[in-house]
Formats: sequence, structure tokens, C-alpha cells
Amino acid sequence: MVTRARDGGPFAREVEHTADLGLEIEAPTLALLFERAGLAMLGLMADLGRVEPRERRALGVEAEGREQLLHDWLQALLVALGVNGFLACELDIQQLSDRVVRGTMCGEPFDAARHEIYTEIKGATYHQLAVRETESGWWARVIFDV
Amino acid sequence: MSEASAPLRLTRVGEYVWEIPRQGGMRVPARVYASEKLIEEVRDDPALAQLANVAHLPGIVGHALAMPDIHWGYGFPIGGVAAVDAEEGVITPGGIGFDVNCGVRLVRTGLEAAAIGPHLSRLADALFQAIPAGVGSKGAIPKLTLAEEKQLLARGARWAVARDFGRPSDLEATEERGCFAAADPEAVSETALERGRPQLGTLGSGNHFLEVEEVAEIYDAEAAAALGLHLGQATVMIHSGSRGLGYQVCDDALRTMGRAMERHGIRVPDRQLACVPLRSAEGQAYFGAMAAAANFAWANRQVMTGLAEQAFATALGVGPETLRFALVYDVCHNVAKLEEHVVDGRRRRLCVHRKGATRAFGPGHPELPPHLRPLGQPVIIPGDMGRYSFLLLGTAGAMADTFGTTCHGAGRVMSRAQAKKAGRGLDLVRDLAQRGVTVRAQSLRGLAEEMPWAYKDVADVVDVVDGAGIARKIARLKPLVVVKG
Repeated sequence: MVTRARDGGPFAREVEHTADLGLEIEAPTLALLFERAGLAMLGLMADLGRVEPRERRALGVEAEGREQLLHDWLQALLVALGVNGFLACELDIQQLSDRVVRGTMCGEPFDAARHEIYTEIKGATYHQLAVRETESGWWARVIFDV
Repeated sequence: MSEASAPLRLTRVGEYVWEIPRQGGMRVPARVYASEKLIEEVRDDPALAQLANVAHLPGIVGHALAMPDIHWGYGFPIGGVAAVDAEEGVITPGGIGFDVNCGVRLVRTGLEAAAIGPHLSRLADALFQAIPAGVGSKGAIPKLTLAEEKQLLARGARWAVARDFGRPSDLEATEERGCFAAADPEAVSETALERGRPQLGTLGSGNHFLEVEEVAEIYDAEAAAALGLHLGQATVMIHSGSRGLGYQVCDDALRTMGRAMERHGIRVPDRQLACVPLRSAEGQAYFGAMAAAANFAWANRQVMTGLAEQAFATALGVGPETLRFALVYDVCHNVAKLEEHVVDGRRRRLCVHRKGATRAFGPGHPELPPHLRPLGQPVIIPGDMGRYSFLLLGTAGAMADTFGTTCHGAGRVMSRAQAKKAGRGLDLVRDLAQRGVTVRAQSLRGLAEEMPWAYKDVADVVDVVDGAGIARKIARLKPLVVVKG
């Protein structure tokens, strides 16, 4: 299932943290949780409404455990932007286990003329990092270093 | 050892010093430097519990310390200091921060603020154009090769000076002379190298900035004159760090250490506090990588100094003989260093972690270059963009009480989300213009997160360290131009 930034909706809620930025994310499935977390994080950094899904790129990470996996997935999205200048507005996870997440991101190269960057997130921290199964699905909390 | 534990006992032990006595697994007591006003602001904050957690670190000596700008960090509070025994203690990336060698430099110029006053808008535009800022911006040196990047990681600010960014005398006025000899570029991961390559000479966003300032008040005329400063003079302040490279070095280490801790028999309540013995293979690899990241940050600030000088020349149509850019000093406020300090009457070699805290060596310290040795180390304390920043000097008191350490800035009082809400409907650019500050920013939303009232009044913070004798005030600097990423 593809998650699109422009679909809007309550993907996530900002956590109050004095120095940094944090998010709490809910979703009915773990794959959707990862997709929403990724777009919510990028949405803190830029106006994704102005990003066009022109180009599709593969994105995948392997790690030990769900929390590390979520951390590394978010990190991969940050590297795609920081190193390759690619801003995603759609995420589609095709494979997800406790050790691997694979999917695609759709978006376009960052263009300073059209895309507004609000703030730069340097990375996801391990501070209070949590991924939990709930009665209605899945919940995660991530604090970012900005 | 958790942030949700019962309220901590806090006892006043001096006019500006509060102590959390040893309790639970704390190996040493913790001390907070604060006024009554500042301690009230932090009393119910998770930062104090985080400080108590710092006191659990294996090998910590003296006290776990917090400066008056303490605030809630991740794992380790911002404004926190931990000195651990270099032989038996641990090193923790959480006690240094993601932005390794995030720091501040103050450059004096040969210009008077009154003379450049009519040209501030043009100067702001030139600086904004010359200094690449945040996401998506390209570095000042677009074709940095991997080999060049590794040289830079080994040489720090020297690498930049050799390429005509700034001048050789700037190195004398930089901590470690701009180069951490312990740097090991081979200990830096491929991802970290990849993240750093396009970012040399970029400011970054968040609380990073470049400011043109005016020396607005002098508290010690003799010391100010010795530092080449006078009332009304224009200065430049740059606050930035090691960008994505430093973040990745920290992140890589947290992962490695998270796995290695069990082998070393160490347990921590928060993965962000992961640590290993400094002497272990993992500890040494991290120290080498951290030092390389610190060198990246020094090169970064040095490159931006050169870019700023070029922007001044373009905007004002003057040459270097008029600009007379010269570095007053460059401090790091996120770093761990091997230093000698006297603890309980005994000289010991320590690994001093400073996360959001500044080294403040007193007069006579052998680490200081000859021109600064009689004065003590300059300490640069940036405030918020609407009010002022301060220049201080390190003291003998800091050497005796805080491992030669003092505060690093204002410290936030509002979360970024709160600041955005509070700033809704306000024209921050116009508000700052009315205060005489010309702003250029990549994002108005990003600017709102950094609004002046999201921070403590830095004067309150500086008055505490001055009053407690762990630094002394020399000058107050007022912003004229602010460039934000």
C-alpha cells in the first residue's frame, strides 16, 4: 500500500521536547507505521505538498529489531535527501520483517526554487525510541536531532 | 536510573551551586550552576534526572556537572559535563552530542558598526548568498574528493587555511589550534564520509547562524583591548558544527557501543547513553572518529570565515587591509578531550565530556597560545538572535571547580512546536528589523522555531557563570545581521 504525503491525514503528532523535535505515529499495520513515520519526518523538514512523485527509487535497510529498523529506515530517507538531494513524497513498503524493510520512495530531486525547507533534521536519536503493538495496530515514538 | 523516577533531592551548596546528593547508582554527586530563577525553571525538567544518570557513568570523578543553560537533551542533558578517568573510565557519544564540535567563533574586523550601518541589507544579501545554509545547499568546495576529505579530517582548520580560507594566525586562536592530532580518518564510516563530502562550508539549520555584530558594551577594557576589541567595532560570529558527518560518526558509535556494552559488563537505561571503556578497541575507534569529525567542524568554520570575508569585500567594496578579519577565538561546545585536572589534590588525566558546555581554561594554562596565556581562554556565548551574545574569559575558578568549563549559550525554554505556535501571526522579520536586526533565512517557519523568546535570556546565564567565578564577562555583542540556515 502506498502512503502519499498529499493524502494528508493525521499521520503523526509532534512530541514536545525542549531542544529537539519528536513524533508519535500510529498506524493499523507495521508497514503503514514505517511509511507514515518516514513521511511525517520529511514533513517536518519540508513542504511535501510541493513535491511531485516524478521518480521512483528503491530504499531498503537491514537491522536487528524493529526499533533499530525504524531508526535505520528514517536514516536512509535522510541520507537520500542530504547526500543525493532526493525528496520523497510517497513511500511504499513491499517487504517488512523484524530484520529487514524494503520498498520504494517516489519523489523528485530537491529544487530550492520550488521546495521550502523548514528545518534540517540531522538524524533520529535512540532517546525514548519505541515501536509497540497496540490494540488497534502499531505505535512508535522517535526524537530527532535538529 | 530513569527519567521518570521520583523527584530528585536538590540542596543549595553555594550562592550559584545546587547539589543532587549521591543516591541509587550514582557514583558521584551532581552539581548544577544556577541562580534561584534558573533553578526554578529547570526543577521539574527531565534534564535533572538526566544529569543524575550521568553520575552513574563508570569512571566519573568529582561531580557530574550542569551549567546554567542546562536543558533536556537525549540521554545526556545539554549543558552537561562529565570528567571520567582516562584509564579506567568510559567514553560516551551521548556525552558529546550528534553534532561533534558544534562550536562558535568570533572574528574581529577593522570596521566600525556605524560605518557599515547604511549597507547592512546589501551585506546580509551577500552573506546569505555566499554561505550555503541547510538542506539541499551545496558546499563551498563542490568537487571535494574522498582523498581530499580524508586529508581534511586529518588536518582540520589547517587544511582550510592552506587553501586561503582565513589566515595562519587564525589557527593560534582555535582550540587545539584547529586540529585534533588524535583524528583517525580511517575510523570514519563510508556513510559518514559520504554525508560530509557535499557539506563542507555549509552552515546547517536549527540554531546555527552567522551574525554580524557590534561590540555594544565592555566590562573589562584592558582585557577587551588585549583581544583587539573596542566599543562600536563590527565583529562576525559563526555557530556551526560537523554537519551530517558528525551526526553519522555519533550514530555509528551508538550502534557499535550498544552491542559492545554487554561484553564490557555495562548497562545503561537509555541507548543514547551507550558507552564503552575509553581504552577498549571500540572506545579508541570512536575517539579517533570523533576527533576527525571535530576536525571537519573546524575546517567548516574556517572555510565559512573565508567566505564571509569575501562577501564583506563584495558588499562593501573594500579590501583585506580595511576588513582586517582576525579570529578572536574558536571554541567547541560538543566534544570530549583528554586533559589534566587536579581532583582531590591529585593531578589526574581525564576524558572531559562537554555537551553544550564550553572549555574555559584560566590564565597561565599551558594549552593557551602565548598571546592569550596572561588573559585566559576566550569563551564565546551566543544568545538569541534578537538580543545579544557575550564574550567571556576562562578563570582559575573554572579550573578548580568545573574542570575548566563554563556555559555555552542561552538554552531553550520553549519546544520548537511551542515556538511555532507562539510565532503564528507574528512578523518575526519585521519585529527583528524594529530591534535593528537584519535577517536572512532559508525558511520563515525554521526562523520561528528560533525566535528570541524561545530561549532563556542569555544575560541570566552569563551572570551566573560570572557570579560563580567559572568565567568572567568581557564584552556584550549586539546582532546587526543574522543569517540562518
